[in-house]
Amino acid sequence: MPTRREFLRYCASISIGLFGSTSFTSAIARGFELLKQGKLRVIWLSGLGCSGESISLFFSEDPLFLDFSRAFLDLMSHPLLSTAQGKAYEEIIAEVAAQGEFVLCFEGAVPQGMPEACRVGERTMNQVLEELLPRAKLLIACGTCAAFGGVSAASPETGAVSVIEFAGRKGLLKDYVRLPGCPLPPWRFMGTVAYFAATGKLPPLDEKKRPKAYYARYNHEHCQYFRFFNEDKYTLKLSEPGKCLFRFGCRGPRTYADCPLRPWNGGARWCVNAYTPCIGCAHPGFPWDPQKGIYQNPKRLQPKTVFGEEA
Amino acid sequence: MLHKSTIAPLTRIEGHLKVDVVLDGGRVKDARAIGETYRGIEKILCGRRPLDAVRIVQRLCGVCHEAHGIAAARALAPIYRVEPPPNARYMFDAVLGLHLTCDHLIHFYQMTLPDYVDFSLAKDAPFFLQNGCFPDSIKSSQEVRHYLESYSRSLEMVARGGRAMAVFTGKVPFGHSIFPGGFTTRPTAEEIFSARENTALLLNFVKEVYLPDVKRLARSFPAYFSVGKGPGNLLAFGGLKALSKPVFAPGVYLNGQKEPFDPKNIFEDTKYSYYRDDRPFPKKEEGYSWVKAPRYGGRPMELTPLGRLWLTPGLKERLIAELKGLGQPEEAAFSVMGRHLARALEAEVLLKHALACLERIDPDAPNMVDVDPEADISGENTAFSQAARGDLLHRIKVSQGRVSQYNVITPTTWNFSPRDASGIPGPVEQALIGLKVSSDLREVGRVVRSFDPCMACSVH
Repeated sequence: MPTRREFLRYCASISIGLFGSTSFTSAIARGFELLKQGKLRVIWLSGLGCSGESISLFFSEDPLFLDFSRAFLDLMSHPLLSTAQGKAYEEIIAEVAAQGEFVLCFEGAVPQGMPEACRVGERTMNQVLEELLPRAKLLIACGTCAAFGGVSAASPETGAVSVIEFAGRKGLLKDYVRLPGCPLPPWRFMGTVAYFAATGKLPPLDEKKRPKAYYARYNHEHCQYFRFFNEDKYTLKLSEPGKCLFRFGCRGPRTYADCPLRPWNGGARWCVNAYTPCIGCAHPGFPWDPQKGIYQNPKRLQPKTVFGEEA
Repeated sequence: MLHKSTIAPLTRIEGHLKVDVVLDGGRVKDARAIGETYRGIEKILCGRRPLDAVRIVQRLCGVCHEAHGIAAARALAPIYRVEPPPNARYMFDAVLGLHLTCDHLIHFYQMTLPDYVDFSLAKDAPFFLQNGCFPDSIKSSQEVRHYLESYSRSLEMVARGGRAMAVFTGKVPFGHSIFPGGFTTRPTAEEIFSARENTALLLNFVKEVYLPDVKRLARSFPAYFSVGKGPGNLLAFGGLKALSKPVFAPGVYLNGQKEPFDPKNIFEDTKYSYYRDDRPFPKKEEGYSWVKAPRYGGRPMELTPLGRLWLTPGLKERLIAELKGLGQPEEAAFSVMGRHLARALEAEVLLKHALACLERIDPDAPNMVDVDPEADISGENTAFSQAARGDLLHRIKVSQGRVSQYNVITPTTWNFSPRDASGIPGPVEQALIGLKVSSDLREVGRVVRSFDPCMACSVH
């Protein structure tokens, strides 16, 4: 065990290494102390969706999901991972809920219009949420379905809505964060959770409750091809490196996200530098109006017609 | 004395599943596999442009992410009158090989192992592994430590596989570079080399850790070589044809005989599914599952990696040889452990194929043929692809540049189908009937998971 003095010296060197000065020493020390007191107790639920957020986390390379959850979370239950099944699984959730002080991570939408379209055990997901939401200290809406409705809410049959909208309609909305993305890239989840675990408060959020660290700017503003957009050099063919994909209906100019800054899968790519337009999977409008569609004919679309509504 | 028992929800699978069993003196007399979720994606696609369908069908399932995108791209290529260039064909196969292997790893280590190993005995096991362990699970501290180490390492390998795939797909899950004409990505020689390195690493893990772990587990639970047989009918569509010899052959295995496969024999029954006139109808009186009941010539079929190996000459013999090494007869393939073993053997075959495909990609040659997103095309087509749990079918009808009909039949739809109009139970239901069970129903979970259920796929 280091002495208090040594501990503070370590924190100072982290602060210098990361920020170039010692001004964050006490904040970093406070973070470590909070982490020592107890990790975040998390219940993970999958609603009407595809488990893409969980799988995206399993694909995380740096850090690995297991390492991350060991350091920051007490992951009490997860439908893809929990050993417990059936009643035993439900009992764990009920026990954690009764103690309160837990974070609810939710992926997928909620079939408000047809509750039978998503059942967990003997109850509908709607009932499970009505029970858990009032007791959760924080709701994290993981992925576009949970944050805005996404693909699941494009169906008129199930009347699916985002978990945020569901909670709002039931008057159960307290503290919450939206983390859109289809799927949600691991860093946005891990960064947000680590911030909350280490400070006890939410990171700075925008008016739609998305963390500013990841959603403050349009993808377009960070895009490697922004220069070509400025110079009006557009590609009329997919798979053509070194030109702007804007005329294919790229949603980068309207989608708040940080894909160009933190490439996926420990590699160097995101959609646009894989030479395919941003489809705005983190945008509230995703998967877009069926008539207009995701992609446009580049020969038809006039330059500088920014496509898609304001985010 | 008959009594009803249930596992709801059945965890460690994708999606929402409930299994009801009727017990008669410790034996399953009747079983029902109940799909608990419906999203309506096929309907969402109608009226959209076909290229939108490629993006949206990927979202059918977060576990089978690339499989659906590739199936849709294949279905659409002839309708757009394009043929992907050789590079794209190599990439399709390499991505599928990596994708299926990553899924197999997640299925075995994260979803299956907790059924057999008591991780609560390891001090540093995460909380979600500590509750609900079974009395007959492996308890020796050395063994538990070994499996927990593999459990962690497998996720590291999955991430490596993701990195290799993203060289071609842009990102994982849901690679947006997949189009009917091929891949939009232009990987450089260095990137292809790094993908090969990661694939080789994964292959090494499969040979040195995954396959030995499956055999080790099988040796500890030999009884699971004789339970969970199911109907014993297998179906495989064949695939991974980028090289001169396809990896998997198409075929049907019915009543112990091999027959040629004819897609015309596929029919979806909805007598016990929550649909009326092709619309969702959860109040249907005789309905009990959201899953439809596809049948081949009126028969329930199992679509798993076991079927792919069993119907391909050469691979079947390999599986039988491995079974022999474990002291098991040929018939033991049709069992819980037989399926796990088939999956591990398949992973090796898939990765070797992926490596051979990666060798052949020419970084200077084109990777795709362009298509017009607003083309006024019409036509219909059926395409097949492989998902980790079994073979996959996409049927699409396009009229004047818009999707007019989309039909997906996934392997889980076959495996977890309810009864059909003639009252024949689905494959998993059949696999459960006759099973001897304990009061905690752990045997039921083990049989069900050996089919690798993916419920979001199955209903869509």
